[in-house]
Amino acid sequence: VKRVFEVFLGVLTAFGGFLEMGDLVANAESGARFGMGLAWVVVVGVVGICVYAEMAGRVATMSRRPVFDIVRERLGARWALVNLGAAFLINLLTLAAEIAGLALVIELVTGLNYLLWVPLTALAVWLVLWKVKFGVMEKAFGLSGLALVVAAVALWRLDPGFGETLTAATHLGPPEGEPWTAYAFFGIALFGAAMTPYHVFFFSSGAVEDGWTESDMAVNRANVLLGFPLGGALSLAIMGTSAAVFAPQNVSVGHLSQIGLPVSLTLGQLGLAVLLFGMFAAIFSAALENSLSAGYTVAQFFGWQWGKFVRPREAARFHVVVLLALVVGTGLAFSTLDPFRIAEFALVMSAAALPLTYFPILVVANDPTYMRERTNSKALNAIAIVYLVVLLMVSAATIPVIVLSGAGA
Amino acid sequence: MWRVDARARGRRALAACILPFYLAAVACVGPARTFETYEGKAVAAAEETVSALRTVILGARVGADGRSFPPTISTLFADVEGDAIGARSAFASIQPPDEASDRLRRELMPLLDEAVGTLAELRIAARRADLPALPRLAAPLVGLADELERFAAEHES
Repeated sequence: VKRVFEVFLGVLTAFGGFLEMGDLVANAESGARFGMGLAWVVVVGVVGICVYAEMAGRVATMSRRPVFDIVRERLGARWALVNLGAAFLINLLTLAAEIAGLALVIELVTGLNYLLWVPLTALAVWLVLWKVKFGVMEKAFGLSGLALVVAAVALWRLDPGFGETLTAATHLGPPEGEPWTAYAFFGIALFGAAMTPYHVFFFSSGAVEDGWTESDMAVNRANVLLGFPLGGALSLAIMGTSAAVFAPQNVSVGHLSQIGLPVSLTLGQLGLAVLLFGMFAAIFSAALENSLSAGYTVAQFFGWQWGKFVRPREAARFHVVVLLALVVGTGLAFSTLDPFRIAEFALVMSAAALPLTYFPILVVANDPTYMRERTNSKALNAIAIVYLVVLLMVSAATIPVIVLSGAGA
Repeated sequence: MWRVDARARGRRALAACILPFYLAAVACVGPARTFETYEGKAVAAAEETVSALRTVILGARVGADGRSFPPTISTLFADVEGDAIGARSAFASIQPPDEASDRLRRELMPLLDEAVGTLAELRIAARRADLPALPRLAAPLVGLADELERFAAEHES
């Protein structure tokens, strides 16, 4: 049983990464607009994050240092500061979207305006961060997020046809009437969602929090190979339900309230209740990940004591950064900016910052000084280099695609 | 000298950061100087309203069948009503550039007005948890959505 529970760091990271506000938005919206035409991007993203998260976990385990610490050492202070700035900004935007997302889920249950719930959800996130141990947190939220399996059940009940789904999923390009630029915009958003930098910052710091040692390499691999593909599969299920219900009716998805409709249609109130619970848990996980990642990156850049494995007094500056990130995120969530758009924007922008995060991980994972005999194999390096080229291309294309597509309009 | 260069570099960097978002925003809300542009915006407004109407038709069915909760349905209706209102106001605020555009406006605006009005009635019923009334209130939306879809198809270039 203990071994089973050890994979929950990966499950929590994956749910917080693949099924947070931005992913729910991007998957449902692209399902409604492009059917399963962008499913391949999620698959490519899942493989990419598996490759690099495994590397980051291995680096953290072998060096006993988290990724951002090594990013600074390898890139130098100036480039690492650029990376920190980009990562922190994306963290704040994503955190704002998550806080608003939690409030929106409560609005769906109570009918009371989401702005009323924004400070309360932020307070709840902070209380969990302050009071709950890391291990308990990852198990509780990883397990609760599993409720989102209900989306896969709904997809099965909708029965869109395996052959047709597969044909649509393997077709490259937008359906008739949809521009290539919008297709590219959502492709980048989905790729950015899968490989968003806070995944690896959180995962590698979590490995240190959990005290992984060289004997935990199998746990690292199990976390990556179970957690991320599961998160990816469930995000595809959300895309699939949206494609089956909304795409044939020319409905575009722009609200969290729409995501529940296919589940209500097929599984009724019980299914909807489970979905809302799962969405709350997944978005809460993402809020925890983002808040902690904000603290991790800043503290690791400046060399401060960080983490929940020490008493708050010993990592006071880390906790102050986490708290400040929550306060700023809450302020942004209060601004009444559309949380859907904030989340989507954060995803696309994270795509632009990807190479700065992943390149140093690849370099360190090949350095025997840190890794001893656990450096990358040649096959893994080949895959990782292909991904690095893809990351560079996506990063270079991000701003032109935002402009040309009118931000996905 | 170095300070001036640094400032200029800073301004250029800031401009480079802001410009893409400015261009993206402008691309969404630009004015219509020709009939074709105006027609494109009319099609976009019609399509967005169709999306809202079809969502509500689906929501009304789900709500009346007891497959959802009243607060969930009322939030859904309020959300998509906001979209329809936004599409209507955005289109209404655009100055028609010629007489052909005036005719187009006269054709589309009543449909958008009717859509917004009916969506408001549905939202009110959902807020009162009167879910059994939803299919009756949503019935006119089916024809309206078809009409708007026809309009969009006719004018899509």
